[in-house]
Amino acid sequence: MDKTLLVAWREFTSTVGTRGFFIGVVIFPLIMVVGFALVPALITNQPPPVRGRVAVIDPTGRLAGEIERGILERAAESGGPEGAIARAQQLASGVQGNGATAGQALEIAQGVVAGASAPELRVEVLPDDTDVETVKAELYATKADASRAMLAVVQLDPNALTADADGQYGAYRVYVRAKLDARIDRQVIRPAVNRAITDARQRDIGLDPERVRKLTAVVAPQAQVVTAGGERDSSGAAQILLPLGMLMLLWIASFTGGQYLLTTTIEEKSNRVMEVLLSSVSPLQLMVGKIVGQMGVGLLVLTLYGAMGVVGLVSFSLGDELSTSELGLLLAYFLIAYFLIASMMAAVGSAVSEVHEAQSLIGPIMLVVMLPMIFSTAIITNPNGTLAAVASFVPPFSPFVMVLRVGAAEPVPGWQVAGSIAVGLASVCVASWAAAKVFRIGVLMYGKPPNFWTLLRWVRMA
Amino acid sequence: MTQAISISGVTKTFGAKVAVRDLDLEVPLGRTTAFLGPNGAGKTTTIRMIMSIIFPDRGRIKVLGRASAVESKDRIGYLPEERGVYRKMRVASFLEYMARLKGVPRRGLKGRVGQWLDRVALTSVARKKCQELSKGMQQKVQFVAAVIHEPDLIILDEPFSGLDPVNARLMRQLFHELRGQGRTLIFSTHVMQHAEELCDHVVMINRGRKVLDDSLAGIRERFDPRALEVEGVEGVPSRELAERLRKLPGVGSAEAASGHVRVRWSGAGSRQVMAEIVGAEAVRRVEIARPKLEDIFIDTVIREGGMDHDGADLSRLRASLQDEGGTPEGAEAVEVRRG
Repeated sequence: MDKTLLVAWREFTSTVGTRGFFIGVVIFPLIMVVGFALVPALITNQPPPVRGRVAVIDPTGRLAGEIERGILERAAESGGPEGAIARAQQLASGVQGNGATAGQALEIAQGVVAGASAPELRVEVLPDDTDVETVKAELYATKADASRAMLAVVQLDPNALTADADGQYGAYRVYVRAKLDARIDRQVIRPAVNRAITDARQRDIGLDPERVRKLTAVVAPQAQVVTAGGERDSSGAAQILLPLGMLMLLWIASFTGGQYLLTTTIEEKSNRVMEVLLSSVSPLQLMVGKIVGQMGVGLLVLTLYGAMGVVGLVSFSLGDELSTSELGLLLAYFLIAYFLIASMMAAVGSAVSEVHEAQSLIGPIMLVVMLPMIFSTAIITNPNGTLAAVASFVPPFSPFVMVLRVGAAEPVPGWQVAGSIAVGLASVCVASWAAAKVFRIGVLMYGKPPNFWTLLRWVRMA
Repeated sequence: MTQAISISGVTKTFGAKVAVRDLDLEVPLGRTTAFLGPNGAGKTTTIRMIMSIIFPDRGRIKVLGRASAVESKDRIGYLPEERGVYRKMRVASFLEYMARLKGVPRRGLKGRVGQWLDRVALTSVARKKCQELSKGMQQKVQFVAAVIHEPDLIILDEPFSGLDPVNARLMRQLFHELRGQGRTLIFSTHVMQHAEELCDHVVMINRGRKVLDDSLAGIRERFDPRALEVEGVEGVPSRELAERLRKLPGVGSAEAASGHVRVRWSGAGSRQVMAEIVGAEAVRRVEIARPKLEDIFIDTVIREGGMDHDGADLSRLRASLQDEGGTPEGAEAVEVRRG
């Protein structure tokens, strides 16, 4: 026991004391903070600047102008030079009243902004009798000048504004060039066409579209969460981020320890310090000591990041989203997950002689344990569904799935919590027993790295 | 308890290969034993079984009176053949850790480590990381790690390999000291001079079987070549000298070897023959040939090997060694070559 603790203490201090560990522990949260804070700011939902032509074929004869204006207005919001052109066009329609032609005003305004090459978006209204197929062909024709490329063709139905006998209105079709940014279609072209059509239909029956919009708009209230500590805005995001955060925490903590265990074991083998150690301690003492030592490393990571998470929640006054029992369960599932992973890592680490030899054996393990990550959305949205419930009792997934469920909004039935812990403990016993067998044989094996079946054979050997 | 190690009927196989076969071995307390054998003979396997790092398929091993080394690990010092250090650990911390693993109390440990580092002239590197040390330095650190807990039984697998002459001498001194303190030492080596200089007893194994287990004196007696070595003065070819010596009374045979003539006497005693030789010839050296462990080793391996399929290879090896003139010759080996 004494020797096991000695091994554990050395394992812990020599891991935590390295510069690499310090950097990893500090850098990682920094990256996370930067990621959460900066990346959303960098990713915009705005459609990119558009260059090229959009053709509109309007058999109703009443919508083309409205559509053109709508498209250019929306493109202007994306802020490119064509935005300036659109503004110039607005200016043009403004000056119309003063006797100048829109075309003249547009030319003036274009002159204002045309400093450089001035890429632009142009809307071309084509006559009714245009052959659609010819226009469509332009969508895949290559043009040397990108601003001349046809981006989309909008073809309105002749009955877009007139209902048939059943009260059904016609609609329109949009044809786009391959690789056109989907946001241009969804956020620029279609809203503009939709608005033009609905506005015209409302006007046809004597309604003021502007008033209709005001009448149908209701500002959605923010729900208030009422707790003993007071009231706060409810946060749907917290309900998704909390379980995900707990899963990440469990992952990072258990794999940090596990990964270190793998590398230190391989190092002891390749350094040939293993046999010296084995003359002082038994393989079991060594393995248990190493696993316990790295458990300390995992716990340290869990505590550090967990504390940061709790501080974060409290600072957003979301502290009540997390209960002590959830933290307790997180710890319990960490221990189960860690011992499962550590057993596998110890077994693999003892069996190979070089880190790269471990990859082929660790790969499948990682894949299996990754699965809960992939299904995390499904589990969070339906934490008591069949998938979640069943996976809670399948050993390698169990702790990861349970952490997601525990963090999610719906309470998990108590028997499932107890059951998953029981399954977890049993699997830990089996895994560490098997690992001890592999470890005992593996630590002194050099040469050809064993495959999975060899490891199984070692487990079965007395 | 008088036996440090007691092995009876031990067999160990790895797959189809029998590493150790029906080995019996008794090592009394306080004896220094050289453990010899060619590569792959089963030395390391035997030592690992003594250390309870691996376990025999059959047979019984008692170490320091206990059923296995597991129970007496703290009283055994072990320097494995495959030895290493924690590369990132500092030398003193490494030794402290190894000592603590052997049950040395924390109190006074730093002083003890300091003394030992001083003893092997490594005080200046105590604070350095093990990876900064040269191979020879690392080996001294490993040796200290094996003896720092003052064990009763010390097992050293190839302790001299990789040491320069200065460090090899230091190691021999430490060896003599440990012997003088009455500790039981077992060491394996390929360097026969070390075995001859350092041990009281020789155990040789070949192909997993014990082929020799005797004291050094007993071996010298048993393998006495009963021959003289005569070295002529400069300018006289050994061939010529042998020719002339053959004619002397009492000389049974005289054969030229590299740099000397090997003379066997017939009937009369060695003293008379020596007197005859000294009387008749100008010689640099006349002495009674001593059995060399190296010869015994190689002869035994060849004899053993001769029974097996690859014996021919060993004979060829022996022949090539002789051609190079690098190895002293043994009469029996010459016979094997003729056969």
